[in-house]
Amino acid sequence: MTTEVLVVDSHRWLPWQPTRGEPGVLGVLAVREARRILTSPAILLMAGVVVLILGLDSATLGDNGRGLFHRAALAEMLATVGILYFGPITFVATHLAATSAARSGSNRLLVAAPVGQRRRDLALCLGVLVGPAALALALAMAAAAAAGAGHQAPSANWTWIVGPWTWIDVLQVPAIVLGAGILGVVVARWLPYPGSLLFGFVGMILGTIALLSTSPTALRPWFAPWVSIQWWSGDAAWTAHGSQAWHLAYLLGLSGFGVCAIALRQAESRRRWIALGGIALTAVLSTGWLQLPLGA
Amino acid sequence: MTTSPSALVADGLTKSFARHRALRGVTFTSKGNTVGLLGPNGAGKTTLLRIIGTVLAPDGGSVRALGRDPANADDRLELRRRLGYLPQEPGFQRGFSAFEFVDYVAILKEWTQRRARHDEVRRVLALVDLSAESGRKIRRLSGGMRRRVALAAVLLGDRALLVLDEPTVGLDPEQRLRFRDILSRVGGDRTVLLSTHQTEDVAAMCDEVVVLHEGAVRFQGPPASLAALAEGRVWFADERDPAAQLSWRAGDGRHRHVGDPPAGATTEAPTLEDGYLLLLGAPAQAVPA
Repeated sequence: MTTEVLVVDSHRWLPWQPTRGEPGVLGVLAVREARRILTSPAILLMAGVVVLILGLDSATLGDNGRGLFHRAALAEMLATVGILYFGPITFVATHLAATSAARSGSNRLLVAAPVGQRRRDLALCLGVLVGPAALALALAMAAAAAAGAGHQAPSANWTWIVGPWTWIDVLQVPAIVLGAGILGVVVARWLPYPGSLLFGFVGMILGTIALLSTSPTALRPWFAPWVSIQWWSGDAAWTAHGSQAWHLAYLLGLSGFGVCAIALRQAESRRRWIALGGIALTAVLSTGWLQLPLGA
Repeated sequence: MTTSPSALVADGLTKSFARHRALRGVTFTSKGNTVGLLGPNGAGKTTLLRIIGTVLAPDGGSVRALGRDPANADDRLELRRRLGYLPQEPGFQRGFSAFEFVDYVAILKEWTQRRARHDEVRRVLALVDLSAESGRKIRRLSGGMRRRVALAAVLLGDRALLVLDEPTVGLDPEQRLRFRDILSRVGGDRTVLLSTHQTEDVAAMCDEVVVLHEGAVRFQGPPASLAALAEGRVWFADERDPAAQLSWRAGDGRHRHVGDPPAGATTEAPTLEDGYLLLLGAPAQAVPA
């Protein structure tokens, strides 16, 4: 970095030495990418629509004299946004961010920059972590705080139980958002064709539904990239014997494996990433096994 | 910063796209500070610039820029830290303003300190006369302004080598003169390699010219030497001479001819364009009456 310069005016150049504690490129780029994802039209538009619909929905469900701003209704709304919608929206936003350079043609200029495609992709993944995933964590914490301990559903015929949340419950929400965002980059890199966004989106939704639409006592639902929170699944048997903590580790392992898959798309240093991918895959398989309610 | 006397060395470069051979053994060693790359469409200029710009790997041969071999990963990274590359048709991410785009490129060029980076972004935008437009979305800028945004991104930092693919396309005459001014100021002891169809740009800015034709180097030397190829082979006449290699009617109604002059013709001082046209052996073209 000693070749860089600090410019003091249009015509003079001074040597610039990096200072101790200077932020790394990945960190700076990750913050930039997080901002880009969070201000993506996909997030802004869909979040607005979702909040509007859920607000109206909560107002309807949350009558019984409690209204829209009853804490149980609010908890329901925040959790629904965090769990049901934020992941797919993040998938779309990160896919758009990952493909924007290629779609716009700016890749022709950016390709000769010292920060190559792999580091840009890793920064994008970090951006998902510090952007949408962090926001999902905040949503889940707000939902948990609003739900409190043991509050009942906002409607008498509403069978789901709202609260109590554990920290494992809370952390699963950003984990699925992180995974969905990384999946968006994986699809962008490994299917660099028009239509890959729609293909990946439909595949992700249908795949998740296929895994979830089995018996609550079956093993398959545990392999879905989904939360295993009792109040959300609506059936205590679903989470009674399996390990939610290992399911959280399984979700994070999937994200790690996704990052390795993204890095492997570039030709350089493949051995290192194959080794890391092997470790991530082992972690996914191990935690996938450990989470199962085998003793049930 | 001082660049090597031979900042660019190409040795037997070959590159094919499917059955089309874009480069057929390009060999040259550049000693110039500002090198103009001339050639007709399809001559291989963009392919050569993309190879030197570390964007494309050659099929055969080798290239060294600033003493670095882009085929080596470490050398390529180090070269990219000292390189500014402007492609022929740069695109811009949707939704970015001019400042945001150049700032984004600055991060990719490893400017991590926010204040220094923003100072540098403002400096290069001022250099291309876009300070007033820096907050506007790029999609709302004119074609020439977009070109200048891309140029600003290329000029970020202390680049020892600038590789510019047709940088004056889309610029009006005033902007082209402005570009020449910018290049003469940032050039200094840096190496600039630019491809263009504008022979007057080469004549005005370059101290060395390389002519590519059908994927091979046809000429390398100072612009004056290229112009000298047409010495004694340019003349004016009232009527078009069918024996001339090229002829066109000038503004005063007389015909300017390039080729082998007839006996008794009074020859004119040749331009770089005359030498270039003669070198490529362009066929005679009909001139409208």
